[in-house]
Amino acid sequence: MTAESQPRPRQYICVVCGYIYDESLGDPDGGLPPGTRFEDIPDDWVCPDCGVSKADFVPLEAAEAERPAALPEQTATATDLTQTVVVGAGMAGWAVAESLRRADPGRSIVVITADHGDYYPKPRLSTAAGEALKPDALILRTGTEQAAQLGVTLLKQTRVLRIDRERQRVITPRGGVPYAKLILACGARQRPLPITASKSSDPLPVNHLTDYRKLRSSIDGRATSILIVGGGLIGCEFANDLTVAGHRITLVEREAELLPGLIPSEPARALRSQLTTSGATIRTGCTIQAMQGNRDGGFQAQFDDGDTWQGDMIVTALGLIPNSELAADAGLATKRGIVVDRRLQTSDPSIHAVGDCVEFEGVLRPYVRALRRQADVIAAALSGDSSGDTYTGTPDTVNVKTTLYPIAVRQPLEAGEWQAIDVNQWIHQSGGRCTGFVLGGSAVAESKRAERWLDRPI
Amino acid sequence: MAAASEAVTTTPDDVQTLVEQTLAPLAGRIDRDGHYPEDFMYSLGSRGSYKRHTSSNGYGFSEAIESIGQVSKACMSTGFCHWCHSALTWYLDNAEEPATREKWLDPVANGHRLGGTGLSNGMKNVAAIEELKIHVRRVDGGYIANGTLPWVSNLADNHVFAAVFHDPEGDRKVMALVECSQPGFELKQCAEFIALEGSGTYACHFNEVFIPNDQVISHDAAAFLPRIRAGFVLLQMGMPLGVLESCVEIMEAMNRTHAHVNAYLDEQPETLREELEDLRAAVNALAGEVANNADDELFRDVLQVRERASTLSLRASQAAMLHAGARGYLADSPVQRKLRESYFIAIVTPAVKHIRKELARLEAA
Repeated sequence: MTAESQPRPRQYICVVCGYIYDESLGDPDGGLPPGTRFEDIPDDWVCPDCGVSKADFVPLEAAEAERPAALPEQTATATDLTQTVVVGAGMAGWAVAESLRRADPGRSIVVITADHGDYYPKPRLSTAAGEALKPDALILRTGTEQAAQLGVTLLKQTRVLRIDRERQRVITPRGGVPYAKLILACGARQRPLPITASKSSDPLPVNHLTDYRKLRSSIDGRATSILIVGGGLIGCEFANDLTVAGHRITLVEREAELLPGLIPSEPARALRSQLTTSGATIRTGCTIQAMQGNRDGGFQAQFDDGDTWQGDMIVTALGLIPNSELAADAGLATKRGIVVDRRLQTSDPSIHAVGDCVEFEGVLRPYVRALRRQADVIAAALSGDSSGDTYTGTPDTVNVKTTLYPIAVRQPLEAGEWQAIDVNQWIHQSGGRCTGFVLGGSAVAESKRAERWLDRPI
Repeated sequence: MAAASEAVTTTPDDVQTLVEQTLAPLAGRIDRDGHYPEDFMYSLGSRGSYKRHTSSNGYGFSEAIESIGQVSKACMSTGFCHWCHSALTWYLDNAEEPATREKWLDPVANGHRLGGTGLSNGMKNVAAIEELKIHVRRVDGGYIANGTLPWVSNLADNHVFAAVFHDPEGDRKVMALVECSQPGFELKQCAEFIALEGSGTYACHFNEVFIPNDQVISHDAAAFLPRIRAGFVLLQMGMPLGVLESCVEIMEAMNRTHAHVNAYLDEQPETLREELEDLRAAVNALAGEVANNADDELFRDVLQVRERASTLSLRASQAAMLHAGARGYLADSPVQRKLRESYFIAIVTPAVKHIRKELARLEAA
């Protein structure tokens, strides 16, 4: 037989164990001399590795695989014992990374986050639908881009499980991360509804981009009926935004007026009137007794006055609970939030905390302006700048971005009385001094001027 | 017979004594001659080691993992058998068919019936890596199974194991227990491995094997597997924790007489011990979360810790060999065995490559 007339040897793979039968080699131990063609293998021959018959073999070409089109990025490592570690990549985590970098271009900084760490302004979650912005359009930079811009190491998709204070290591499933200084920016989560629903009919808390994508993917492109539970700042903003985006909104608030505890009843009624005029249904002094998911994916709810609601989606906005478990578990002082002093230091001098997870002098202040100021104070403290600013906990003007009737409010810290001073303008006075204000509608443009009234005699 | 719910009173010291007295002297025979330590496996059962993590024992995953770790430190082949059996107990404790749980949980959880887990194929199937290799068809009172699973461990003629089957007619996956003594079922001893030869590993051939309903763990394994997968993978962590502890101890012991030269090596026992403590802390944190948790988020964390354990074990066993030098290269040295054991950690399902693929999917979500 000449070389030309000899058929090319072929290879066959065992689909059970992956053994390859090569015709040119045969299986001498199994009684097949080199050159035995696959079709000439007797039926009683078995795979030398797992014992199956030739029926479980296929030509090697039939089993060939392709390389994936895209492979994930390599996971970063962070083992510098002098590094500063930030836990959390929400607005507070990124703000503190930015302040630290500004204060010290050489500092080794690691940011650890359980999600992708994408950088986006969180308050925009409650204004994007009305502006027809897709959730992903809110992302200013991906986590990877933001980390590169700030020159920090990002450990994303990495959950912090424990803090070992004795060994100064953050415990993650990907290994321990040593720290010289640790900053907790753990954020806060939505308060759950006090009634239990079945797993399938859980209402959706909207607190970050992942929740928000879920919300938008189930309501975009159609007019839906949405029940929003909680008429505080976030609930009112969502009610406003989703109404503007063309959805039928029912907003339920347990207290007598919207934005309870934040503004007095007159501006609250003005907001309610604008929302109602635009088609939203507002139910104050009302709670939900029960809720169920329907077979068709919809929901129904019963109110305490006996009325019922049926629709597509239930969103909760019942206020925030600081994520302080990690800190408490590590033995740091916590009350409602992680307790910090004027330099945002926790009860451990190596650990600071910032943002929505923080409690300062008994007060939680889950607002963007507060966290930015806190981030700067931490950067100064860690740079050894003892003359640097301290955090005083002074409230900022809070803007309620209800576009149908926007509100700017400076909450008073002491008891006193509200009075209307003009259309859409209210001031709070204690002992003859201005101690707070509320501006509504077009008057919100005056908030810089109104801030100058504070502490002045009236 | 003791019930699976009977409280376990054995302490880690009791297990340690048992390991030192009866398993450690056998480690060479297990490794070199492929001896299966059957008596030791029954002894572990009588001490409650297989049921620490059951519902009636408060899901003590940390304790279950510690026990597997103690065994693995002396002999990871046997630690692997311990894991196989503990994983099987975990499936039965979660069985959706009450008759199956009723009949099998007690004898398996107490180690009166030993058994293994043939879930590698099923887990790879869920991760889109392999087709299911055993097919079943529904018949009166159960299923008939055909096909071959290449490698299932902790088996012998009187053992049982669980596997996932494909039911083409209903286009679903079925998970069930198999008795190795069932008619039509055959264990075949095949190719030799470089380690873990004493782990009772066989190819499992099914030829018209009848699987009665009271051996079915779930008629819908696609929905069932997410509920048990985190526990399945986390229990494996006993193996790397045991191997790591042993590798670090080898290095520490060598340093007493060889610190003057070993100090020049890249890997040092102090650093590896620190990383081992980090790993143990992560495992213990996750141990409190795996019961009744089918979430992808948790499974991501568990896979990450499992991957970390694989790469750390490879580093530590290589370091132990370099620290030990020629003494570690002797054929009866445990050091060279640690090397082969650590490769097993990195290739047994879920292998490092499998985990990376699965994490890419979970992290893209």
